[in-house]
Amino acid sequence: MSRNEEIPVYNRIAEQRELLGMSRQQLADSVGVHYQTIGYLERGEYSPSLVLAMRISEVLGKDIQNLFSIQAFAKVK
Amino acid sequence: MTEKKDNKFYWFSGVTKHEVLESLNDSRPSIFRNQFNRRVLVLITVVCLICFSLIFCILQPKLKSYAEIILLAMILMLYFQLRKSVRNVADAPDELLDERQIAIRNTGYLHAYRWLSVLMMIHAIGFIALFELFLGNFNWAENFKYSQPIIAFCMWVACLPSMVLAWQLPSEHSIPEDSK
Repeated sequence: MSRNEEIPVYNRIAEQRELLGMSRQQLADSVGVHYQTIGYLERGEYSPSLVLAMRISEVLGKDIQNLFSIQAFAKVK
Repeated sequence: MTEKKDNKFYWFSGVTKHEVLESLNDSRPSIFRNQFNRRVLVLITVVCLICFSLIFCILQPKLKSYAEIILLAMILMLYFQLRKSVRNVADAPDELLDERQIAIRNTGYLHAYRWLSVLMMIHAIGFIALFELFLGNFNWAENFKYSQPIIAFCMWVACLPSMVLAWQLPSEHSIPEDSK
């Protein structure tokens, strides 16, 4: 169901969301999507549109390039 | 009163706003959250639709009428169940869906259209073969009721988008896991 099956978009949504103590439902309501969509995004099963990526970045208070990448993020211990 | 006013009915989609929103936010467990169960539902619908498409082969009028009524009732029931099993995504208007759901729905319609062309071809070839090859001429068509195959085809058209989505969508992750 990803927009581009060949190039996955990696993200740090879960990490940042948990850091802010937000639930998926709260984040979904803030950016105007269904809570399942946040689950799909966090699991890397769906790549967001630019508009959605920007909205999520804004709500999570992070720059878009720190939140989304086409290269896997280094694991934080 | 206001609630009733807010409950917009989408004529082209055949759904109400509340019906879609309730279905999308439904967190109750259901057997149709699982892909396997949804696929079983699709297969049952396909069998019923094929039987309904071939009902004109029954020559006994009384048996034919009973079969028609029973199958049509079953197909209608399965149609509403299919819609519910995919949370009405196949029928919902854009304004009630998010971008992922719209993408899923659009892909579903693309596949449904491809299947519809296959079905149309099978129907057409089947009827040409029946009339031309087996019966020799089109005169037999004078005694043939066209309404039944047309209804069958309409039911295929109505059910296909939800059937495709129900078949394609993966099993849903548990609700608490996704919403926490």
